[in-house]
Amino acid sequence: MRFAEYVITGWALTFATLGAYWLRIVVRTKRAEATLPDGEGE
Amino acid sequence: MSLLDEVRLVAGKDLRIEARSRVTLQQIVPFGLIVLVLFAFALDPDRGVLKRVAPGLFWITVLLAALLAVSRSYTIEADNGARDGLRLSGLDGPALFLGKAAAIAVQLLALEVVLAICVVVLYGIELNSLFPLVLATLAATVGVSATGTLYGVLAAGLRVRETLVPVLLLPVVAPVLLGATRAWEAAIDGVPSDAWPWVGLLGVFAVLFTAIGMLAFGSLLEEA
Amino acid sequence: MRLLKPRVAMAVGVLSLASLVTLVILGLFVAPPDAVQSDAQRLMYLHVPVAWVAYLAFGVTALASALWLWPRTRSMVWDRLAGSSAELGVIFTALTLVDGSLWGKPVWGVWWAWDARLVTTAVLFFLYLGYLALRRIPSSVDARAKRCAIAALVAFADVPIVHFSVDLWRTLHQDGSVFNEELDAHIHGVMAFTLWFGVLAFTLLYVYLLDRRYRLAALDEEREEREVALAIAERVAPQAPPVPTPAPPVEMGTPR
Repeated sequence: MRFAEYVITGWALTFATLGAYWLRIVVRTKRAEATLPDGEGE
Repeated sequence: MSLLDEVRLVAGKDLRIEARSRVTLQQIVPFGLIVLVLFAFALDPDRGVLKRVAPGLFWITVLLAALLAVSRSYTIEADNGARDGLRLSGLDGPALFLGKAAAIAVQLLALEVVLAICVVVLYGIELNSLFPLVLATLAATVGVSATGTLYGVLAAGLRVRETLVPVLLLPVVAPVLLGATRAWEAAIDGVPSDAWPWVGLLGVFAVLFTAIGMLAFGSLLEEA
Repeated sequence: MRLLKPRVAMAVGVLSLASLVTLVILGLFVAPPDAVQSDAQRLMYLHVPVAWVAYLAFGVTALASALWLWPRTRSMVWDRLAGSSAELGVIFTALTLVDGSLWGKPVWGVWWAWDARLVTTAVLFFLYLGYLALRRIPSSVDARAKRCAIAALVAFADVPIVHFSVDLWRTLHQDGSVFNEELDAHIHGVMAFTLWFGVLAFTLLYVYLLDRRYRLAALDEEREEREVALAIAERVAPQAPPVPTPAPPVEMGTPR
């Protein structure tokens, strides 16, 4: 593939960023849910 | 009291405070002058760059000084429950907004006259085609003052006001910097009639953000 | 507490993941290299969808802000939505700028160009950052919501002005025409399909992430409310009078 370094960097960075962001939300959500008093939330 | 009377009252108050404290005169104007001089240090007058970019440097300096002017405009409201005074004064949001914005605009215009003289002297440019030049400057100043007053009241009660307002204000007034610089370039060095589209843009910006400010000021003051 | 029902959210999540995987296959393998841009074209399948989401998120933030400001529709739902969408927006805007830069370098030889689209996206990035800075300032929920809502709408009003002003600038300088022509290059067939599929995939991702972020915002708000209530309760609770400890019985005067 020509310009492979640009193409791969772009695709890898994009999905790595979005994946990391998703993970961050998941972790923070679990932490927030853990502090809920029992019986609340869905 | 009519709107105009109320505006004159508020603007008069701010300008009288300036007349007595002389903060703009003794601090903000020197700041502008120093920045102009620093640009010359950074850009080496001998290489001819300074002359070419003079309009841009002028307007960046004005913008930076405007940050100080906006900050000052709300610092004077911080003591002695002055903000409560504004809220209880019975004056309309729009009048308060226009009054404070007008006071800032007047001070910025005075600053711009001084800086323009300096730019002519220090950078060696000539101010040709004064008509579009002055109109562009007026419109740009109104736009910056209005937007600055709006973000100033938005941040008025916050402890981080002084670092927050620049970060909010500067991206929004980027078109003003662009338009004012291009208008000056056209008037001074290029085809003067090229300045008119920019004057138009600056005018639209000024009107739009004055309108937004008039609408939002009262509500934002409540939370300040 | 949520934007979507849990099952719907899960379905959207799975669908977006599946379509993103498909997009990788389409974009990197199935779509042919472009006649002019060669394989660099493949970055367009990312850059355009991501840019679309960045602007979509901005629109959602603005709309939600307006709905919060309008007294008849005022609800914390809109404030939470505006904040969540803004956070997504700043990430997608950053990705737009990076992907655009990586695309631009091989195709036009430059990492950046001062044309209306790029500059407006850069300004959008800074507008988002300012908005997020505003959101982080601790305040009463209502005060924060009002400040952020107005800031979002002011930014929304500014974006078309920025775009127009840069456009005017480049038109008067007659620099931008070639650049823009290439950006609008007509593409057909598999390439067009991949592009549209990418838009769909990232939009699904946006919706899924928005729902998750919204839920997190709601949970955080609840936790803060509880902490404040707890702190108030502790302050207000009547101080219990000190219980006198019974003195140990002193045996006095009992002759032994």
